[in-house]
Amino acid sequence: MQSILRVELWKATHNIKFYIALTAGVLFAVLDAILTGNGPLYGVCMIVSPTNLGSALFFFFWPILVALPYGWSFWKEKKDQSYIQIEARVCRKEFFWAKFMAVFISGGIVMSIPILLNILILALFHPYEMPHVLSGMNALVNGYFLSSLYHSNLWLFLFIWCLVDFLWGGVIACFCLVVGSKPTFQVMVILTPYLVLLALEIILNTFLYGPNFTLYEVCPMELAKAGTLSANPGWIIFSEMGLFAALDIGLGYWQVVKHEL
Amino acid sequence: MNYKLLQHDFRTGLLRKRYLWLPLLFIIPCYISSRITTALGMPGTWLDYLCFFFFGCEPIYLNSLDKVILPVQWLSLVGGLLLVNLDYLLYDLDNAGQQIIVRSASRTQWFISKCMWNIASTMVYFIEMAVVAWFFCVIKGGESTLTQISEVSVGTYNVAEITLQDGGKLAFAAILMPFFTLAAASLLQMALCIFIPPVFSFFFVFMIMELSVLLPFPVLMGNAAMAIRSGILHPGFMNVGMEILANTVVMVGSIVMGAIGFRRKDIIKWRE
Repeated sequence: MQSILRVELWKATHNIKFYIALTAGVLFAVLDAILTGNGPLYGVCMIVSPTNLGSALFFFFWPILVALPYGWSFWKEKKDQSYIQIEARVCRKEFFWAKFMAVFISGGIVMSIPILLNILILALFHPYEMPHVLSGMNALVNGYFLSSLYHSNLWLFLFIWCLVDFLWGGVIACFCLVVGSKPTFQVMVILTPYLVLLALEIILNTFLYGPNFTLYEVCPMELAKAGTLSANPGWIIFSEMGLFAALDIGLGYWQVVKHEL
Repeated sequence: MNYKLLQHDFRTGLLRKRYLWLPLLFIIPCYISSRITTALGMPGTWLDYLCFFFFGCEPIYLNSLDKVILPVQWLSLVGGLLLVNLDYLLYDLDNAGQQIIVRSASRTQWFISKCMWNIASTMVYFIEMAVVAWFFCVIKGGESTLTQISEVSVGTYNVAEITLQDGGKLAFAAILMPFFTLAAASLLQMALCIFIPPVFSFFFVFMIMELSVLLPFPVLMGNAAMAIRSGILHPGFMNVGMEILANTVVMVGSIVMGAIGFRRKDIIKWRE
């Protein structure tokens, strides 16, 4: 298991698509830091206050960015037959878990590093203040995930959100495994998580929300932000994440382990 | 023009299963539109339904206080077309198309045939959209005419300053301009596929579209595909002449760039 995991992790983090996705994410994060206005750190970092071009681009395209590094690998190995070589050498289950972890980690890195970088850049130029409950710039109120921590320990709040986004990035990147090697072209494998999340966003916005403001944010694409329009309690975030993880593992396992060569 | 080549592209490119799934994409805008017409107490016409697809959103002025709300429905319609037209060029090189390209004896003609197919595919997309809108209109008891009810249009666009003179201007801004813009965007995507992998090509063109939502400049082609920003409907907004010029430049540039790039491309080693 260790050797195949090491190989998969090396491949996941040493390919051109990983570098391109990471560079694009970092560019969006830096653009957000450049374009952001004045104000204390708690009100300007892109995860809390996605209000400009950089954050809009990042949070609209993140499902593509996380799938780009290594989501396509299983499809490619099946198409160019290199899967047969691996299958002859290691157990399929071990291969699946190694692949899953490599895709998860590469997606998580591409998602969390730009957000962390954005926080660190903004921390260089913006004052560190604790948000006051009655402050006009206060983006998070009661009902938001970790809102009490936001008002008591901002750094811890931001780092926990980086971890949450790492998990989101990983879970959504692994959604590429669900389609296995069915699509004709690699591009469709990479775009699958994005299409699913976009479709969910449209359907939920149309049929669940209607034209009015609602109590909770349920669109998975929006739940990667700490500062959503409606409240994003932890139980919604983690139950949706768990649902996606279950789909990834269940269908991915079936595609990789149970499927015939 | 080699008509046999065009015939092949129309037959293999337009008779694909994915076109059967498109109505699902169009049902949601129609549903929202019908909800608006029901709320206004008027059935709405076919044109009212059609105009709702590409109405887009008002210019977003980015500042540090307001959260950005993107027009996801408009973006999904744009992305849907880009996805439908994304992989046919590669598909036709992978299959019987390899035989066709050998027999056509001209790479330029082969590529121009693909461009014609691309525009035809965009047309099919809009025709399917019109058919779904017509069905919704008929089911909701509306008139299947290309006239408009101003109360419905103003209610849909939610902008009181819009003064609608006739349905023709509305149809131009909400149907013809989006068609022209999306055809240009789709051609640009196909031309880029020759130089970069398709996923980056899709990402690049879709990013231009999203930038158009956030930056209201006529040179960013997506602005022309949003009726609400059209200078025809909303004086003082986008200059329509400039938008047509920008889209024409993109269209012609994509065809020329793609044809030149494809002539020099080593298609034997070309993999996605």
